[in-house]
Amino acid sequence: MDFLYVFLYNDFHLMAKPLGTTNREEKGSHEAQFIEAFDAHSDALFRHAFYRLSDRERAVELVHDAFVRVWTYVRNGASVESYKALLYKTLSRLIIDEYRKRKHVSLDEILEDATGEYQPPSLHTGSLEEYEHALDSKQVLTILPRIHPLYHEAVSMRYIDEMGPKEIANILQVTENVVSLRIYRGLKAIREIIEKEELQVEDNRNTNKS
Amino acid sequence: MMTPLTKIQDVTKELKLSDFERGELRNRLLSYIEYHPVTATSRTYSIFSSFLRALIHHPYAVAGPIAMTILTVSLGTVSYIAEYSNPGDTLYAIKVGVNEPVLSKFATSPYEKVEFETKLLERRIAEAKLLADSGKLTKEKEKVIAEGIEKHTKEISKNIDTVRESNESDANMMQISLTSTLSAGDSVVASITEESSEAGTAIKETVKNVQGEQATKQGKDTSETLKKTIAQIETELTRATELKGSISTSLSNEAQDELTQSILVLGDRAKTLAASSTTYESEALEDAACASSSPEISTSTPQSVDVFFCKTARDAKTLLVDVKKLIISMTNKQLGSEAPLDMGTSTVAKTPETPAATSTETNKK
Repeated sequence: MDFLYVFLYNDFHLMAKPLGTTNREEKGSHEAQFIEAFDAHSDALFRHAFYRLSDRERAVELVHDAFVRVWTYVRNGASVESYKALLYKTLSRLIIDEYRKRKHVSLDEILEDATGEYQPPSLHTGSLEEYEHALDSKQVLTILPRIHPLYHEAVSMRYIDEMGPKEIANILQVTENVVSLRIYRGLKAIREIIEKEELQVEDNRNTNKS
Repeated sequence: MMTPLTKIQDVTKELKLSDFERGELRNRLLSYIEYHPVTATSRTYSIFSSFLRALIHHPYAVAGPIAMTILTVSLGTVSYIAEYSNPGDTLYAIKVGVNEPVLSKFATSPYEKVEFETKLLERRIAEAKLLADSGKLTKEKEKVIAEGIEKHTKEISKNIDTVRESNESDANMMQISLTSTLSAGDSVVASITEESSEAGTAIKETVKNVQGEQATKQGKDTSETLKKTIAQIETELTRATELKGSISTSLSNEAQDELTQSILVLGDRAKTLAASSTTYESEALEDAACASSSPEISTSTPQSVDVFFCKTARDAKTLLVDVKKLIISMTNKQLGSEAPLDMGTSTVAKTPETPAATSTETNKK
């Protein structure tokens, strides 16, 4: 009789509850899977948060908050296909809230979809590869916080978290095209900042000589 | 030497949580899981996928599932619409007479019953506010809501007494939570009676009465109860965040930003309290007699750890009331109110005092 469900609205959410009791074994495995996810992903999540916030303490706190939120989700009965994707999704939202708290950036600006009419080159064309090999990682890490949050997020996930465009698209709930575009624009923005700074240094040197 | 972007891992891999950070995080999460266990197995299915499942397992009974699905969709639609009804509406009888009693059957343990009845209590208060804001709070509707408040409070109290038989500190925490809900409710009802001297008097009287009854049941403030109260605050904050998600489409961008900010400020207060609460691990505090009013804390003279503990315990209760007020306000919005959200007046971050010096009274044993 496991097909017999009662459909109810609880707290304005449709639920289907089986006419049975809770499963103790299933409860135990939730905790085990959750802790396993912590052991597997906590470092990577912390790294992601740190490179986006440049604040170690806040990064640790947000990782904690992300895990707490995901546990509440699990506790309320949701099944989790991929802890990694859910954790990154939750952490990204917390980081957006953190930006808003710090910089009072409007919701529209942060969530602005970076799609446009421009179609980005694929990840295998010369221009993106050129950026990948021409940019120095250490320089990129210092400049990353200065680019648009959406590009920062995509570049971090691609290169620091080593995720593919498909995985990033699933986490950010956008298309792969949008992910590719954000990565490309992010690297372009970084390159432009570097070139501007190099020009500035050159100008200062020339001014000192004269 | 340059490290191209494709080799960025060579630069970033060294950055990880320290052993201390990882250990502490893990312990905090394990503690959180312990206080917030998985309650019941419930899965959210679309009606279509449930029907498919029935067909796959019982293909011979095609007519049955089809009829069941049609019935389910019809009842589900009525049930859905009834959730948004208020006293006086035609479907309100289904909401309180069908939806809520059926749902209450799935709350099997006293813990789940308390959680469920608390949500209903918050709903009754939110319904009162909604009706008052739209000028529809008649004497008859007031009576219905007042009866609901009394009924849910009694149910919660009954289940807390059941829990008290096996776990005193859990029962104390639940009593604190109930008192906080009633305090938040009192504040909401006070705003109704401020606007109109006639509207809401019956509800106000009922809330005062049940508050008075519950005040006599409050247990001692212990460090264990404090930890559980802080855990409860975190649960309520998570609930508030989820509620925010469900009402965000009906809010302007500015209101959404303000709501996010309010939740963040409450979250910061919770974190500060959590950090302070680790100071009070001493068993000597089991007998701390915390007065109902907050004494002035002077930083120039040493204060006993008990005084700071009591203040932290009171701050935790105040914070819980503030979070509950926000939840009731958002529930009100969820029910369809067009009035602006009440973000609460005490959402300014308050930093609890920390003990300035050790006390000679730390060990009463």
